[in-house]
Amino acid sequence: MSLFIHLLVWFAVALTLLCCAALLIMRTPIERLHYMAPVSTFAVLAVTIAIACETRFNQAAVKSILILVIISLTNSVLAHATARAFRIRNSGSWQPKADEHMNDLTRKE
Amino acid sequence: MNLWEAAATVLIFGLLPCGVLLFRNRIEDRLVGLEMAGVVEVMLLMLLAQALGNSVYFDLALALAFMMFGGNLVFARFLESWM
Repeated sequence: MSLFIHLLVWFAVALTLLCCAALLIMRTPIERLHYMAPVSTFAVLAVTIAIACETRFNQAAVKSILILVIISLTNSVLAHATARAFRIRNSGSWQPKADEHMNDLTRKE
Repeated sequence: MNLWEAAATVLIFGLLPCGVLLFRNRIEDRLVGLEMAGVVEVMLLMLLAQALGNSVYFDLALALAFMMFGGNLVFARFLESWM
Protein backbone atom coordinates (compact mmCIF):
# COMPACT_ATOMS: atom_id res chain seq x y z
CA MET A 1 0.00 0.00 0.00
CA SER A 2 2.85 2.35 0.83
CA LEU A 3 4.44 1.74 -2.58
CA PHE A 4 1.08 2.39 -4.26
CA ILE A 5 0.74 5.71 -2.42
CA HIS A 6 4.29 6.70 -3.38
CA LEU A 7 3.62 5.86 -7.04
CA LEU A 8 0.43 7.89 -7.08
CA VAL A 9 1.99 10.96 -5.52
CA TRP A 10 5.07 10.95 -7.74
CA PHE A 11 2.92 10.30 -10.80
CA ALA A 12 0.88 13.40 -9.94
CA VAL A 13 4.02 15.48 -9.39
CA ALA A 14 5.66 14.27 -12.61
CA LEU A 15 2.52 14.87 -14.66
CA THR A 16 2.17 18.38 -13.25
CA LEU A 17 5.81 19.26 -13.95
CA LEU A 18 5.52 17.90 -17.50
CA CYS A 19 2.39 19.93 -18.20
CA CYS A 20 3.97 23.07 -16.72
CA ALA A 21 7.03 22.55 -18.95
CA ALA A 22 4.71 22.09 -21.92
CA LEU A 23 3.29 25.55 -21.23
CA LEU A 24 6.64 27.02 -22.24
CA ILE A 25 7.07 24.77 -25.28
CA MET A 26 3.68 25.39 -26.87
CA ARG A 27 3.39 28.40 -29.17
CA THR A 28 -0.19 29.64 -28.90
CA PRO A 29 -2.38 30.32 -25.85
CA ILE A 30 -5.00 27.84 -27.05
CA GLU A 31 -2.40 25.08 -27.24
CA ARG A 32 -1.16 25.98 -23.75
CA LEU A 33 -4.70 25.85 -22.45
CA HIS A 34 -4.95 22.16 -23.33
CA TYR A 35 -2.21 21.25 -20.86
CA MET A 36 -4.26 22.38 -17.89
CA ALA A 37 -6.63 19.45 -18.36
CA PRO A 38 -4.32 16.59 -17.27
CA VAL A 39 -3.26 18.50 -14.16
CA SER A 40 -6.78 19.40 -13.07
CA THR A 41 -8.08 15.85 -13.62
CA PHE A 42 -5.48 13.08 -13.41
CA ALA A 43 -2.93 14.73 -11.15
CA VAL A 44 -5.49 15.90 -8.58
CA LEU A 45 -7.22 12.49 -8.82
CA ALA A 46 -3.95 10.70 -8.08
CA VAL A 47 -3.28 12.91 -5.05
CA THR A 48 -6.86 12.39 -3.82
CA ILE A 49 -6.60 8.60 -4.10
CA ALA A 50 -3.24 8.67 -2.32
CA ILE A 51 -4.69 10.76 0.53
CA ALA A 52 -7.75 8.51 0.76
CA CYS A 53 -5.57 5.39 0.92
CA GLU A 54 -3.30 6.85 3.59
CA THR A 55 -6.01 8.33 5.82
CA ARG A 56 -8.58 5.55 5.32
CA PHE A 57 -11.44 7.87 4.34
CA ASN A 58 -11.52 10.31 7.21
CA GLN A 59 -12.21 14.05 7.06
CA ALA A 60 -9.08 14.76 5.00
CA ALA A 61 -10.12 12.24 2.34
CA VAL A 62 -13.63 13.69 2.10
CA LYS A 63 -12.25 17.20 1.68
CA SER A 64 -9.81 15.96 -0.96
CA ILE A 65 -12.66 14.37 -2.90
CA LEU A 66 -14.57 17.62 -2.67
CA ILE A 67 -11.55 19.54 -3.98
CA LEU A 68 -11.19 17.05 -6.84
CA VAL A 69 -14.83 17.47 -7.88
CA ILE A 70 -14.61 21.26 -7.72
CA ILE A 71 -11.33 21.48 -9.63
CA SER A 72 -12.43 19.03 -12.33
CA LEU A 73 -15.76 20.73 -12.93
CA THR A 74 -14.66 24.34 -12.66
CA ASN A 75 -11.52 23.91 -14.73
CA SER A 76 -13.46 22.60 -17.70
CA VAL A 77 -15.79 25.60 -17.53
CA LEU A 78 -12.84 27.92 -17.05
CA ALA A 79 -10.94 26.51 -20.03
CA HIS A 80 -13.97 26.95 -22.24
CA ALA A 81 -14.57 30.50 -21.02
CA THR A 82 -10.90 31.37 -21.51
CA ALA A 83 -10.78 29.96 -25.05
CA ARG A 84 -13.97 31.81 -25.86
CA ALA A 85 -12.46 35.04 -24.53
CA PHE A 86 -9.37 34.54 -26.72
CA ARG A 87 -11.58 33.95 -29.74
CA ILE A 88 -13.69 37.05 -29.11
CA ARG A 89 -10.58 39.14 -28.47
CA ASN A 90 -8.94 38.04 -31.73
CA SER A 91 -11.94 37.80 -34.06
CA GLY A 92 -14.58 40.04 -32.54
CA SER A 93 -17.06 37.20 -32.18
CA TRP A 94 -16.93 33.60 -30.98
CA GLN A 95 -19.04 32.43 -33.88
CA PRO A 96 -17.30 31.18 -37.03
CA LYS A 97 -17.32 33.44 -40.03
CA ALA A 98 -18.79 32.27 -43.34
CA ASP A 99 -15.44 32.04 -45.13
CA GLU A 100 -13.49 30.57 -42.20
CA HIS A 101 -12.08 27.03 -42.18
CA MET A 102 -10.61 24.93 -39.37
CA ASN A 103 -7.14 24.94 -40.97
CA ASP A 104 -7.18 28.74 -41.14
CA LEU A 105 -7.93 28.97 -37.42
CA THR A 106 -4.78 27.12 -36.41
CA ARG A 107 -2.60 28.99 -38.87
CA LYS A 108 -3.80 32.46 -37.87
CA GLU A 109 -2.72 32.10 -34.24
CA MET B 1 11.19 14.74 5.41
CA ASN B 2 8.26 12.48 4.54
CA LEU B 3 6.70 11.68 1.16
CA TRP B 4 4.24 14.56 1.22
CA GLU B 5 6.82 17.20 2.13
CA ALA B 6 9.21 15.94 -0.55
CA ALA B 7 6.45 15.93 -3.17
CA ALA B 8 5.38 19.46 -2.19
CA THR B 9 9.01 20.65 -2.42
CA VAL B 10 9.41 19.23 -5.92
CA LEU B 11 6.00 20.53 -7.02
CA ILE B 12 7.04 24.10 -6.21
CA PHE B 13 9.26 24.01 -9.31
CA GLY B 14 6.09 23.67 -11.36
CA LEU B 15 5.34 27.29 -10.56
CA LEU B 16 8.48 28.47 -12.38
CA PRO B 17 7.13 27.96 -15.93
CA CYS B 18 3.88 29.60 -14.85
CA GLY B 19 5.88 32.55 -13.58
CA VAL B 20 7.80 32.79 -16.87
CA LEU B 21 4.48 32.91 -18.74
CA LEU B 22 3.25 35.69 -16.46
CA PHE B 23 6.13 37.92 -17.60
CA ARG B 24 5.57 37.36 -21.32
CA ASN B 25 4.18 40.07 -23.51
CA ARG B 26 0.92 38.48 -24.62
CA ILE B 27 -1.89 38.91 -22.16
CA GLU B 28 -3.49 35.61 -23.21
CA ASP B 29 -0.34 33.72 -22.19
CA ARG B 30 -0.38 35.43 -18.82
CA LEU B 31 -3.95 34.32 -18.12
CA VAL B 32 -3.10 30.71 -18.97
CA GLY B 33 -0.06 30.90 -16.68
CA LEU B 34 -2.22 32.28 -13.89
CA GLU B 35 -4.81 29.53 -14.26
CA MET B 36 -2.20 26.79 -14.25
CA ALA B 37 -0.48 28.33 -11.23
CA GLY B 38 -3.79 28.24 -9.39
CA VAL B 39 -4.26 24.52 -9.98
CA VAL B 40 -0.66 23.80 -8.97
CA GLU B 41 -1.14 25.81 -5.78
CA VAL B 42 -4.27 23.84 -4.88
CA MET B 43 -2.28 20.62 -5.24
CA LEU B 44 0.55 22.13 -3.18
CA LEU B 45 -1.85 22.99 -0.38
CA MET B 46 -3.31 19.48 -0.44
CA LEU B 47 0.16 17.93 -0.18
CA LEU B 48 1.21 20.31 2.59
CA ALA B 49 -2.03 19.69 4.50
CA GLN B 50 -1.37 15.95 4.40
CA ALA B 51 2.28 16.52 5.36
CA LEU B 52 1.28 18.56 8.41
CA GLY B 53 -1.33 15.98 9.35
CA ASN B 54 -4.14 18.42 10.07
CA SER B 55 -7.32 18.17 8.01
CA VAL B 56 -8.20 21.80 8.74
CA TYR B 57 -5.55 22.90 6.22
CA PHE B 58 -7.53 21.26 3.44
CA ASP B 59 -10.00 24.10 3.86
CA LEU B 60 -7.35 26.43 2.41
CA ALA B 61 -7.14 24.35 -0.76
CA LEU B 62 -10.92 24.22 -0.93
CA ALA B 63 -11.23 27.99 -0.59
CA LEU B 64 -8.50 28.55 -3.18
CA ALA B 65 -10.27 26.24 -5.64
CA PHE B 66 -13.44 28.32 -5.38
CA MET B 67 -11.70 31.70 -5.48
CA MET B 68 -9.47 30.69 -8.38
CA PHE B 69 -12.48 29.79 -10.49
CA GLY B 70 -14.26 33.08 -9.84
CA GLY B 71 -11.18 35.26 -10.24
CA ASN B 72 -9.99 33.67 -13.48
CA LEU B 73 -13.48 33.83 -14.92
CA VAL B 74 -13.52 37.58 -14.26
CA PHE B 75 -10.14 37.97 -15.99
CA ALA B 76 -11.37 35.97 -18.99
CA ARG B 77 -14.47 38.13 -19.23
CA PHE B 78 -12.42 41.33 -19.11
CA LEU B 79 -10.01 39.91 -21.68
CA GLU B 80 -12.77 39.82 -24.29
CA SER B 81 -12.97 43.53 -24.81
CA TRP B 82 -11.83 45.72 -21.96
CA MET B 83 -8.14 44.83 -21.61
